[in-house]
Amino acid sequence: MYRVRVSISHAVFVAVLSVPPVSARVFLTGSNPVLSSIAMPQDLLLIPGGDKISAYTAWQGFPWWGDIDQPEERPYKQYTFTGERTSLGEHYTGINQFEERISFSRWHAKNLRVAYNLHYTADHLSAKATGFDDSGDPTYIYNEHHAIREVNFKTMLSTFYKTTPIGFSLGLGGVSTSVPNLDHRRLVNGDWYPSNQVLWWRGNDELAQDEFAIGSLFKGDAQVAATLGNHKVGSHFRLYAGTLDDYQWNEGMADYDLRLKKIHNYTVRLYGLYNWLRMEKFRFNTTVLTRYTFVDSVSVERNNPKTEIETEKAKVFVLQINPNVNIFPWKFPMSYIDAALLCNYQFTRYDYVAPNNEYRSTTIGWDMEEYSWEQCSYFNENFFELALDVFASIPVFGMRDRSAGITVSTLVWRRYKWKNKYFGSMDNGEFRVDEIRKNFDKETWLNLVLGLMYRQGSFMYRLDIGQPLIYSLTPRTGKYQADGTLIEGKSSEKMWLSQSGFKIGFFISTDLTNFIRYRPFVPEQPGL
Amino acid sequence: MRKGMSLVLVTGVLVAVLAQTTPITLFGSNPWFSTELYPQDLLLRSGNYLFYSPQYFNQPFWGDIDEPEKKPNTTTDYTITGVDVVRDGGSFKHSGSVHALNNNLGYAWRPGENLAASLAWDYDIDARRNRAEGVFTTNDGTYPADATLPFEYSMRHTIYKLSMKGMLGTSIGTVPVGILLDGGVENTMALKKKFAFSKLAMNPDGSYSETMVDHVMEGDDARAFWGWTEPGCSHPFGARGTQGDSWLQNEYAIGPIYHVNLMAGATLPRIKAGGYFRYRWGHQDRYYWNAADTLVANDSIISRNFFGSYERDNQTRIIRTGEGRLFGNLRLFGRDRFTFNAFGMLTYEDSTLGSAAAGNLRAESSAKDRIRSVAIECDPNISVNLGEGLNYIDAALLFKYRYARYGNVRNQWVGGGEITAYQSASVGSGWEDVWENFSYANMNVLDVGADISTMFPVFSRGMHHLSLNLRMFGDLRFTYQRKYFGSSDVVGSDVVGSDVVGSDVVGSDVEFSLDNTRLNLAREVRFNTFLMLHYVQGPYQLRLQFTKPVLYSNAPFTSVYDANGSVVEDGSNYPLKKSDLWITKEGMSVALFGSYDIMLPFLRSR
Repeated sequence: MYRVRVSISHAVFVAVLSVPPVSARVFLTGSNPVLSSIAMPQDLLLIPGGDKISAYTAWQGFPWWGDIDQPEERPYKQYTFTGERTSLGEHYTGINQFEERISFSRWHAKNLRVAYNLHYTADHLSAKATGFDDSGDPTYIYNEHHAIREVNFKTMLSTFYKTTPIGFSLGLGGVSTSVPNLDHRRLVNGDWYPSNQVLWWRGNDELAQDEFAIGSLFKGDAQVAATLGNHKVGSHFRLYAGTLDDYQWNEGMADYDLRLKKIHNYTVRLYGLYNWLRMEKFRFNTTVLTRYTFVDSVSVERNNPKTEIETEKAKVFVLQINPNVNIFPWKFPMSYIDAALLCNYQFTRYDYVAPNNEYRSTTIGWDMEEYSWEQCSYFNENFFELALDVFASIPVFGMRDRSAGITVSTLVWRRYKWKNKYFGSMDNGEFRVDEIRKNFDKETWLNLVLGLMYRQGSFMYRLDIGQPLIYSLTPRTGKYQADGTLIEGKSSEKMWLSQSGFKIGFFISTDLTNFIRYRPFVPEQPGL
Repeated sequence: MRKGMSLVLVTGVLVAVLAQTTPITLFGSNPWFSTELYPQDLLLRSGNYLFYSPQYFNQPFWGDIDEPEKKPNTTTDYTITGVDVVRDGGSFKHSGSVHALNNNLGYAWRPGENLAASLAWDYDIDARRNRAEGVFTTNDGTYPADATLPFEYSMRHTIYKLSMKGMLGTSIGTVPVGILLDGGVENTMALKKKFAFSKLAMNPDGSYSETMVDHVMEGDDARAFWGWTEPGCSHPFGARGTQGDSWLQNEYAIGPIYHVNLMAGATLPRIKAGGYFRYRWGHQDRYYWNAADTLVANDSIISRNFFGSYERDNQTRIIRTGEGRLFGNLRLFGRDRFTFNAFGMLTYEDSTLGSAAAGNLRAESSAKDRIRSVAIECDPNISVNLGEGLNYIDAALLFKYRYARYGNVRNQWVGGGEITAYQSASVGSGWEDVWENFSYANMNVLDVGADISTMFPVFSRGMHHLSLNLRMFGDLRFTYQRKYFGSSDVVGSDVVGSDVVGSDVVGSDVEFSLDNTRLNLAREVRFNTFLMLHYVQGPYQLRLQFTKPVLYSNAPFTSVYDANGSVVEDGSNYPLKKSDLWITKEGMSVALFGSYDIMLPFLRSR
């Protein structure tokens, strides 16, 4: 069995990576107020009709997962194996991801609309494996399952300040990784012994998960935005905070040692939509977004939480400028084509330090490939993204009491990423770099989600079909000495593959007046 | 690599046997696409126009000279593309790709309301490039640790396809009818190879001297490589290295393959029906690697692997494939804006691959690989007309079942005569290699899918019209294949005779003894998306089409049994299985179609 070192950075980056890299998707500042109200709560005022309730449920399957607390982590970038049965054994892993959302919006006064949104996602992860000896008899049996759940409750309020539409939102929630439910038995000298060790697989190799963090992080976020003439501005603050149980494998004890990991993740966003030209059938705009994220993860002793062991810090800065256009080729309401060119730059600085704020000593991995658990003392990462993002709502037919349409969301997304990882140790109070790993990745994503909409009376139904995300990677990695001399390096040509399976979602919404005893507030002139 | 006859057979045959379900665009509402199945739909287009359509796509990998799509085994985890490695004082770089450029040029003539004709010239080029270069080093004592093995390899194989296609649409009474005739050829345009390397010469006692010898080979004398990979062992050079490895190409076949297609269709009040016949034939010269007898630099391994030439075999490969189809789209019921239909297709195919004397094609070998298959397809579909012009939604559920029987046979001598019998073959261990030969096989394939094609006007103002076409296709395929391995032995003692060379043969019949079977199961999913912008301005028409890489996943299963049906215990611990993995086998393609309304001068008087 191979032993691996799983970076302690995993858990801390759960929260960071949960932010979509291309965060200002076109629909967030586009023509559909149901979607744009996520970024601009004041757009609630633009949603036609009265008080509404809606629900959404979706399922997506993933064929493989790696780390307990970071399922998307692969041993290395081009890893493609999924479950299999060979002469040495069999193993299968999978994720069933469920998403549930229920929303309720109500006019409380003529110019005051409030929406309440409960959003729940659950990733159910399971792994099953058996080892074989030469005659096919089992040498170990492994069954594990656990779940990663996230829940958010968000209240959005939209009203006018004099003639200016303004919006606020306040959200509370949390994300939690459950304790692995494990049945792991191994055959030793003819007898079966239980083991607490959590595994993952790389082809035929079973690997030990030497470190993982589980528990709950709490989330709070606040948002404020306004529409100034044809332009919009907004800001968003979010905090993840909590203490996770950090499990470290102890080879001597053949069990996990437990310590704690205190995490704080702060994010601030400022964004705006500037309208350049507004015509009957076209609008030309530019969306600008900046984001700053600071993540602080402090490992402490379990019995003495004031005793710090080590700290990981990450600072992320994002600047995104997206020229976009809204086109209204059809006369039907809520029909449009939104298209944007997304230009995104992100810089990340990561530090791995001791309690005295000095860098921790690290050495570069022996393998040429960059394995996900390769821990460095610090790294700088720059990436630039260019994407074409189109979201269209196309009418198929429309009558007074019923109508049908199609929504198409497609994203073609290219990223160029440079990342330099530094390895070394402290020498007389100065950090001495021994080795550097320089990575350059060229990545492409293609995605398409098709929605089939049908409206009858006050009921609206939509079936979403998301195709597997197509992904292409052209990676280059090199190990260098501190003076820049190449030790070894490798670049690979692009390989198209997919990192996720199909997604099926179903949405339904209706007026609350369909419910018995519901008394809506009826404004004289709803909305604008 | 050893390739059996059955692999070669697969080339010409499975292309059709494994064909996808019929795309909805072929029996849908858009006559720009449906003429490929119903030539009478030419009448639904208007005007006289000259058209040209180029299309480009690339694939990141190719392997075999004559079968680039073939990977070492049926599992999907073989996704090697090019690499560039610097390691242990050496380097290794290789890349392989297929660049395909299709060109379609033609003219459509509309002399009258009830007569339309089209003539098109199709010229496609598949340019396959494979390059490798590097400096191998070794660290296990098989070669001096301070010495290197520099090499450089390039191969270009370009295949052209040329065809002419004529279509005619007219009316007999009130019934639109059409006919399509298509004929063409595909062949190797160029096969160029160059291989150079340097290696220390060996002493007669097998040790290495200090003399580095340069070797350069070109043309037929240069060894072709089937593929390169990393990490490596450098087996072909006789020294275990750390940077890369390669497989040698022992044989290949090149030569012309011709085809002719004939299709006819008619649009009746309730059904749009048609028939199709296709015949594909050719003979391809085989080339085998023939190592020279000379010992170069006292090194038997490089002498065997790299010094010699590809020589034409005295047998040539014979390919014959016939295919017939009957199809129709039956209108079940409809209203003003939509119709519900059922599309059905019955296909029969018979393919044979054999060999004949290179100097006399009439002297055919009795060894033949044959596939006969029958397929039935039934696709309930709906067409929704959303308005004027090309404004529609076509959607279909696709169901297709195919049965194929593979028989690899040869004539076997009994006392005084010959009997056709299955070829003897033995099963391999573990996952099957693509070159694993078998005696006969049965295959059942079921496709279940959905196909939707829509076209919407985006804007229309004056002479300018822009439309958007979106097509999404998904297909789930279940394959159940059982291969049979055994030997054909002469039985009976009542007859004593002789074979063709006069040797005594005792027996009157041949009996096939089954040794093993291999069960292959596969669950494959394909998903594809097309996006097209269609712009019309007066006499000009422009279409720009993007095709996303085909998403593909496969969950294969294999197990080997003995003649009694018990699982074979050869250490493989059958069954072997793999879970789904989404990958793409083809890159993105871009196609452009442009047309211009013009009446050719010599047609004006007609």
